[in-house]
Amino acid sequence: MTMPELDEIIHQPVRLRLMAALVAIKSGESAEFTFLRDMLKVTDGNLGAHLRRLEEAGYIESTKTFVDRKPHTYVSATTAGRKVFRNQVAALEEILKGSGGLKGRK
Amino acid sequence: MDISPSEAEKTLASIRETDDQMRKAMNAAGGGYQMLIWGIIMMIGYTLNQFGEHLSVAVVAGTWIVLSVIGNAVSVVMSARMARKFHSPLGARIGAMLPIFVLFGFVAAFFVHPAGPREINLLIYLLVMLWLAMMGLWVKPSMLWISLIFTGLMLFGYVVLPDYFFLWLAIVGGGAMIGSGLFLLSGRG
Repeated sequence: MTMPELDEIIHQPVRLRLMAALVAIKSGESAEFTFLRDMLKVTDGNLGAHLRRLEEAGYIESTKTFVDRKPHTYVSATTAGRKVFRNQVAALEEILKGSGGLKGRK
Repeated sequence: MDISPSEAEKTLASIRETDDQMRKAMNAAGGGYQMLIWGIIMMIGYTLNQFGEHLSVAVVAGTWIVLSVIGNAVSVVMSARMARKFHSPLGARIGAMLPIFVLFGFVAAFFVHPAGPREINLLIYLLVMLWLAMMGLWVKPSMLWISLIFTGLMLFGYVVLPDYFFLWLAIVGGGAMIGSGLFLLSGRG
């Protein structure tokens, strides 16, 4: 049996959770940098590096704006990013199903 | 890239956990706490309306003013927090809709002259539910269903229990609002 194709860029744990968070919000909506940092329990530098990697791949886009005169960065998943994430979840489920691990799951 | 089934299972579990955290955060910022607060305010305020016959109008009105100030302050703070965490093209429009509905409520009350306090409160309630239904259509489908159920319950109380309508608003209206707030905060909404 052939192993389903996994995307190496988003397979990294922080990047995968980051994509999971961004895909949970509606298309066109975005989440703020510090909110994501606190939720994922990572440092500013760590999150920034992962965001850059995902942005280079075209999976996310970020917008800088001012709220109450303070700079804020908002991040959203692109259409391509949402598609790659869905495929990644499907591939992971396929691997698990192949081992019999998804039997009886919702 | 090859991974083992146990690694796939762990990865899927972390995705589910993040998705759950995100939904809870969005629901808390986007209405869960507001519903909880307004539900408590309704319970206190309408209980006073029902059983406060011996109290002066100033005491009842004063209590409602204090409660409304608290409710509005919490709503403004929560909306500001929501705007900081999440950015939505619909956010500003949704925020502007509530004062517009309030304005229409005042206009309707002033020109149409509802028959009494019960009718005025029913009118306010229906306008808030209309706002919630619009939110449901634009943002979160569960809010549309909550709005329709609340509206049905309120009309039932108004028609069937006219003498206890304020108590109905307090217990059923306020209780349903608190229940919906808790439902949203659980991340299932």
